[in-house]
Amino acid sequence: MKQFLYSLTIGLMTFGSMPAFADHHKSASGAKSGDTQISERGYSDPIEPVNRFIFGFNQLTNEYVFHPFIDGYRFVVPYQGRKVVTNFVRNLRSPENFANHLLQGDFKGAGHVLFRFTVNTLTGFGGLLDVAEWEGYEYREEDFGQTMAVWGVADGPYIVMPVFGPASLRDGLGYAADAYANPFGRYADNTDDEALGNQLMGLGLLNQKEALKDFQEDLYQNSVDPYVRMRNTVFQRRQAQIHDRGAESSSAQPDIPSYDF
Amino acid sequence: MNYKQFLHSKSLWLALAAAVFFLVLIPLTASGQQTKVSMPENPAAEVKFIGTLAEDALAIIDDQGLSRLEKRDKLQTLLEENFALKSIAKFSLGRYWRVLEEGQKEQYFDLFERYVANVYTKRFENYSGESIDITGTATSSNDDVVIASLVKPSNSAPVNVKWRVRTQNGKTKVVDVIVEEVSMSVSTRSEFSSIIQRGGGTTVEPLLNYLDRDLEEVKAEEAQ
Repeated sequence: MKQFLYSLTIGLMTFGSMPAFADHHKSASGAKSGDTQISERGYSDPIEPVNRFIFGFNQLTNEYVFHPFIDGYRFVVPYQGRKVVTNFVRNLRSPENFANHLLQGDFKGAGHVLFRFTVNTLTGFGGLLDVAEWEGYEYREEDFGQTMAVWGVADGPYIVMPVFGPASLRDGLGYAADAYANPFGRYADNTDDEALGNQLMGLGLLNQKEALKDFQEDLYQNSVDPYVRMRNTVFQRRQAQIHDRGAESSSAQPDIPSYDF
Repeated sequence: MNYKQFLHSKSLWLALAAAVFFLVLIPLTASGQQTKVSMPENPAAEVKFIGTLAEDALAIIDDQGLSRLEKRDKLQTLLEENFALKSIAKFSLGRYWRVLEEGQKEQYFDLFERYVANVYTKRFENYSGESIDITGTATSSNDDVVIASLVKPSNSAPVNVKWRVRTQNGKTKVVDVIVEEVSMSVSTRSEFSSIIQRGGGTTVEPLLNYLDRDLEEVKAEEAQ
């Protein structure tokens, strides 16, 4: 059971349930459904009081435990060093990344992931350096939640998990599935290697929390309703990931009126 | 030694630490404390608009001679000139725009504009040594132009920020800011909607009271 929790946490922490700040590409395959207009849509939230309570708990642990620790981490390790950790953690998730691309019918994308894994592991000191990025093959992430979305599975209700954070039910289950399938986690589990499991989990968690800290701080301090803003941000972010909307795309525009013109 | 022993060993973690340390010694491409805005050559009108806006905003923020209050007032003026604040305010009410009474409109617009100015002033307080690369444009479906930029803080990961710009009746204004594919207008609308709903949904009063209270708190803080 303990080992299962390790592998679960590795997966959830490495790519997490929150904005991954990963660059995305326009999907080469036609496997994604068309972009839909952003209306007043969002996640359904049938257990909102429970979610709000857990959100509050997460906010406290973030503000008093994780964020101060991340401040220390940033003080000791400059950006280039932290990027090394990010590269390593991302590289470890290549197997699920590869598999999910295939499951969505994106063979070109799968090849892209394979290329990145090979190059970064062999010439990037086991994934510490993102050599492929320098050659123009940027990081792309597909997880099982996105795969299910492409297959047509609906989001399901919004759930805030303690420590792990918020996700739709489908996505939460997707993260768990990816975590379980991760070969490095499986290896640690099968060989009862607790130290390895702990180390991988720690790295993933550290990377995750560092990436999210600024966004979370802004959310807590500058929101009218942080809980709702988080829920809406997760929804928007997730829609962009599912439809592979990246920096170059300009689709899915909300209908902003021309009152000032 | 076998794979398992290697992973158990101190060697792996020494190697990781060495890689981190090694990279500390690599000269970082720090641009010093001045923030820079870069644009492509021969920029289109809207790109230039965003570039100029960014430069003007940074000039205010980097100005050591201004107090926090003065910075906020100048930023608010800059916002009012370059952002379609009333349009964004209207959008942010969503379906509750219809609930807004005539007499409340001016009050709402005023509160909204001051609220936005406050939020952005607070956000920029921790700004230092960042650079902004304006990377490209794309025309969106309803003739607004979306300008892509990359905000590069001096000590953390770059952030994709897109600016949606509309030109109508000779005026060019920003109608939305999209950070890492998240529209700020849409998330503001979700928050405002929640406040109004929890107050019953028939009046915009709860939101106006909230914004008013928030601004009073900021004023009180500044007075200290």
